[in-house]
Amino acid sequence: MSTSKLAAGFVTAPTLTSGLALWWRQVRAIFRIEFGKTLFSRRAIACYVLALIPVLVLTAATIASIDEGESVFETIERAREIFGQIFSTLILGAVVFLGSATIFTTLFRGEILDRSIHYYVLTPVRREVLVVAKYLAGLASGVMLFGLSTLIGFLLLYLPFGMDQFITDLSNGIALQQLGMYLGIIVLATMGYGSVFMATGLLFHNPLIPIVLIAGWETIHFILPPALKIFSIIYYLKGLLPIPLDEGPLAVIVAPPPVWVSIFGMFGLCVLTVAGSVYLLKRLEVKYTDE
Amino acid sequence: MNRAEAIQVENAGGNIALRDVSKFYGDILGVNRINLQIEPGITGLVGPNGAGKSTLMNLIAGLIPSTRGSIKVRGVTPTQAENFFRQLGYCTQYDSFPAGINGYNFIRNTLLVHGYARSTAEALTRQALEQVDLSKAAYKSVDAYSKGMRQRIKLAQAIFHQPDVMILDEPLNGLDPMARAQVIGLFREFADAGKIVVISSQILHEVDLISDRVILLNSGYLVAEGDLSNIQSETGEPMKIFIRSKDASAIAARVFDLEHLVEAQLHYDGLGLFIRTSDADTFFLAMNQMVVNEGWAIESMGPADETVEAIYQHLIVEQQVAT
Repeated sequence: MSTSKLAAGFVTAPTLTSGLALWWRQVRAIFRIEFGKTLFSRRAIACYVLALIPVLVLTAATIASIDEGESVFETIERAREIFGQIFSTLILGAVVFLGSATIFTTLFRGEILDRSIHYYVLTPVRREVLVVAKYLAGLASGVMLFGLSTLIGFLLLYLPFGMDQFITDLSNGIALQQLGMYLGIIVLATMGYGSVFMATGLLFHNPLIPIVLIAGWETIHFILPPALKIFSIIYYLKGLLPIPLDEGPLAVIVAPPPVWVSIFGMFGLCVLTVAGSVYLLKRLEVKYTDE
Repeated sequence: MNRAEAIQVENAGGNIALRDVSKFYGDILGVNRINLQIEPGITGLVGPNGAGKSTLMNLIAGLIPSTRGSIKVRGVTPTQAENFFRQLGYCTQYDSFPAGINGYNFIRNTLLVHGYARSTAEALTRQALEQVDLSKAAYKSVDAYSKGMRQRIKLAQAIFHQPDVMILDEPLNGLDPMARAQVIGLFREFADAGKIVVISSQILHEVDLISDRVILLNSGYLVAEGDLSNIQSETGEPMKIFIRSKDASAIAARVFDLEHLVEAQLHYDGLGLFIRTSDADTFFLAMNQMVVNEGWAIESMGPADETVEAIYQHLIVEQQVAT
């Protein structure tokens, strides 16, 4: 147990030079670790269950359709409308929201609870690099899980209508266009919610209360006046849906924001909250409560 | 060290320099107005529970920010993470690890996060594991490690990137006697290579054995710092000297004539003598003269209380009893 014992083949740690190449190597290393943790640890079970819910709902509808000999959605147009509803309420409102909350709040808070955040804090990594790498890992795993769930759900929709209908919709572009839009919304939603929840995990000892408050705000957004609607993420995301939604008699109807506002709005929110997370991480005191 | 000296040291940027550092947790004092310079070599950090040892180490390592004052390690502040943590390794008191990870991946992943290329990270991982004698258990889950093995993997994590400064919070905890001796040997090698090694321990005779210098903390305040003989002389307490000689009885009879003698006590075997004197320098001069005049055979003679334990007893325990 000594350096002299190893003197003959002693490996000297090379000096690392700061710059883009180093940051890129660090981002990749952190990304790989966090991506693995997010998808292949016990924490991931809740996300898998959430992602499975829409698949199970649409599988049940498909099985019912096969039993009855025709789709419970009657026509493909009606099926697309119902998928739009399922996407907006179940996938966006529950799966992506709660899944993002699970993935992103635990990126930092999980390690504080595990008492292992100090291993990251003690590495010679710029805090900006650490936050961005963890965020990208969360984003990639979220998009993979929720995107896959949406993709499978969308394909299940076509099962009762047969392969011919699917090929027709593929060839006229409607299927690819709608699927592309849904997947794009999944990316933006995970980006937006993810960045907010990552900051929440750094800001609050118990992120559950802010998550419930944000969930409440997002749920009631449709009855909010226009001046307040603009402060909800779901408002921008719903503006991108390929099929307009009927939000019921209580809804305060406003024109959806332009597509570019929705997209750049999500990017802007993401940049702001990730920068906020960097600020919070720089001020973080690694002091596990009962020590 | 006074404030002017502290500023001078901080500007020099060669060592660990703390200037007027205070840390409060709300109303609770962590450490207060610490001015300190820690030089290359092994420095032992000593104090009772709640003295502020871990707080001071966490401050130096940048895990917690100070409420007031500045901390520089070789001229770099903890806010400059990229440069700061390249030269610093910290073995914390926290006995926790990322869930489900094995020893090898724990070290290798952290080296990859540092930014080392995969082949370098793997070579450094094998080397660090060998340094702490964990090569055979490298692929076992850390959760299944014994307390001593977890301590060693934490130590590997603090030294794997070969930092110039190592902060080690109770690094000998849980180690068996053989491992303790080996780890102490490793610290000595680092110190001999010009590195700064700061060690906290509750086991005073070990601090005594390891340290070139000590820092004594009590209730968040710096009580004393420096090498043991300096601290001992600054305390103003009578110094205890042990003389080993077959003429112990004769020496005892003569030293009672010395004015600065406080106490003389024969060793139970009659071949030694404990002396307490308020003026050690004068005593040694007088003793030399008497040895020449009387022709006594002296086997050995030296301070008997230049130990961390003795200083701790005087500066901390006795003060606590007094208050």
